[in-house]
Amino acid sequence: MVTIGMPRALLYYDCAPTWNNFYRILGANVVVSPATTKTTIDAGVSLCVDDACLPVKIYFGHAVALAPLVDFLFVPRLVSIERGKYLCPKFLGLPDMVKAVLGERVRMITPTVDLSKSDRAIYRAVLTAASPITKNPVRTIAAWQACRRQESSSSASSQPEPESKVHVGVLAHPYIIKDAALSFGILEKLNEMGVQAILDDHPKFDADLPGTLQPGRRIFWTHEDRIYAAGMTMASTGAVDGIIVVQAFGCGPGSMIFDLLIRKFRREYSVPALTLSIDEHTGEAGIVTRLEAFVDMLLRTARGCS
Amino acid sequence: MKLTFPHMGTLAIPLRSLFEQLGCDVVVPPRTSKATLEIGVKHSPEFACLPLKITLGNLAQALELGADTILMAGGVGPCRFGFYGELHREILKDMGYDFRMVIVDPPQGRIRHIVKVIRSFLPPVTVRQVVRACRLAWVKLTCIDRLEVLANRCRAFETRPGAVSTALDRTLSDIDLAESQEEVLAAYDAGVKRIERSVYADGRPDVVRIAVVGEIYVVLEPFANHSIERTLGELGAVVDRPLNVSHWLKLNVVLDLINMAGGVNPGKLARPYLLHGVGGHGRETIAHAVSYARAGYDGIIQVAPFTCMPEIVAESVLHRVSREQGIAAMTVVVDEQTGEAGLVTRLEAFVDMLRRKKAARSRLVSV
Ligand code: SF4
Ligand code: SF4
Repeated sequence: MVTIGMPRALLYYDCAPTWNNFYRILGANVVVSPATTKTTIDAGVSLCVDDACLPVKIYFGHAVALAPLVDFLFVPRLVSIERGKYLCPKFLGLPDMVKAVLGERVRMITPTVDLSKSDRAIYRAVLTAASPITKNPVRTIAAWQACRRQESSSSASSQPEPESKVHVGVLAHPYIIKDAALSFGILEKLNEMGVQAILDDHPKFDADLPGTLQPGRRIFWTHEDRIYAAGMTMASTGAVDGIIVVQAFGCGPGSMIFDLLIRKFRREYSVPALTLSIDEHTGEAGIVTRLEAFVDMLLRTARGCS
Repeated sequence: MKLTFPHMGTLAIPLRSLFEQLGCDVVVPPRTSKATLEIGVKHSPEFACLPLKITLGNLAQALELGADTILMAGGVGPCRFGFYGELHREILKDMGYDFRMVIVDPPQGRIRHIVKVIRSFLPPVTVRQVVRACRLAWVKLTCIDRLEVLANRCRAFETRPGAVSTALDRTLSDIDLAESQEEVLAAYDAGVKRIERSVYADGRPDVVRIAVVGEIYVVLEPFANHSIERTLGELGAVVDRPLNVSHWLKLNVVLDLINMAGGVNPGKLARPYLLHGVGGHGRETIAHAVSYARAGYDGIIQVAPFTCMPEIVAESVLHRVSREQGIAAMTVVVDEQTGEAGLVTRLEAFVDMLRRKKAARSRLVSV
């Protein structure tokens, strides 16, 4: 049986369930790297170029841990996952970056997913992805459609929201906020402090927001577009008492969109906002102190009002 | 209406000419300086790339001088450049300026649209005027590009340190002032002679050949790269810089056909190192590295702004290119803290290393 390695980093958090399922249906063995640890981070930092952001470095950590255990490493080239929008340029070059470092150590599967012009382009990616296991297109497409069906029937379930006095919007890339080691467990800490965290991928922020950009122009990055729409909706509807931005140190797209949001929060809505930047030198203590101070402030304001 | 736009290398010369010929009042921002950078750094997001910060400073300085309309190029991703205009507008608004911003997106085949956007702020003009203005600007542009190529090749042989750069600067300002194609061409011819007069005819034996590649803004803007071409030239290197303003214009405004950049086919050359475009000039960086290695150059210098995404991808791959194609490579990352002295030391060490390698090789050959 062919063993496929899935690094638990970057778009793993958006796309992995589908791909894992797909490979299992095709009869492959899927190994996902364990959750990020200090070792993963150190390995990634030592392999990747200095100037990259921490999430990309961590990807290298996961990839190198998997390399000896698998026949193939799954490193898709995610150019675009929806029409007219792209992912960060680093996603576009990810397979080449990994290959330049790990090229001799492991074989890789690197399908290109570019749905910027047409959704049907996914089929080419799927065929490439399946090629080490089967070259039979009928079987491959059937497997893909089966896993899409399973997905749409299971995605309807949503969790009930616990009651809480204070609501905080958390704006961040999924691969940062959902990786507890990378984000210092911010979500859990908020929970412990009795704060309800609302993420930007909450279904109610799905709306296409009329931007404040020059007419006809829009944000052309998938995550950032969503974050911007969610942030503006949170602020303008008063759904949250405060907003926390968690970004990677040196993040390119984030540097533009988060700045734009914070300007608007300040200028138009006066929502309190806290920005946390994370890299391999960030200390947990500093993050926790700032988080606590921010939450205290929100709790005090909430109590003052009631 | 008073029009302005940010600097990028010598881009302001043809742009000013174009819009003045079209009847606009143009305010060229003051020469990019420390003060420009300080304004930009103070008001830009911390992790924004250096070009965003410097161009913001340019725009603020031009608005201070009375400009009221800003012209910016746009883009449709995946790099940050396409979003500069939007962010500039919001930052400048917060700084208290009142202005109009026009963002011109690459036409993607819709030339009609671009004409509409540009006409929205132009005074009425005739087609003949437009043709004449475009021609003059284009002649200026191509003459400047050629002079820069010549200067970069000649500095290593100059009779007196700085002689070539002085000759170049003087010619550039003549071209800037020229009002007809004839005047431009005359200034160009005079410039070529001036540069040729300032070099030794018989060259020198120990030159090394270096190509400067990377993110286009920092490659073209001497303020951002601490005049890297000039420094290298004066250290005795023949410098080639495949990117220039006309490539940028072709890429971003006129044609935006991805494979026009740098006159090479980046997709083909970058194989097998980088199989997909990554925005900006990331793939061109790799393609150029390969083509210069094949052409027998001694070294590649990649210049990139701190946090520049396409160049980070390219940098990751460049090691492999260097190893497999046998060309020395060095990455220079620039940001607002980059000091000139430190950079010069690194460049000296790099040129020395190339020279030693070259000497060792020629000894091998002659034995
Ligand atoms: S979006 Fe930001 S954090 Fe994500 S890979 Fe790009 S630069 Fe890194
Ligand atoms: S190419 Fe680099 S420096 Fe230029 S806009 Fe993109 S990220 Fe910024």
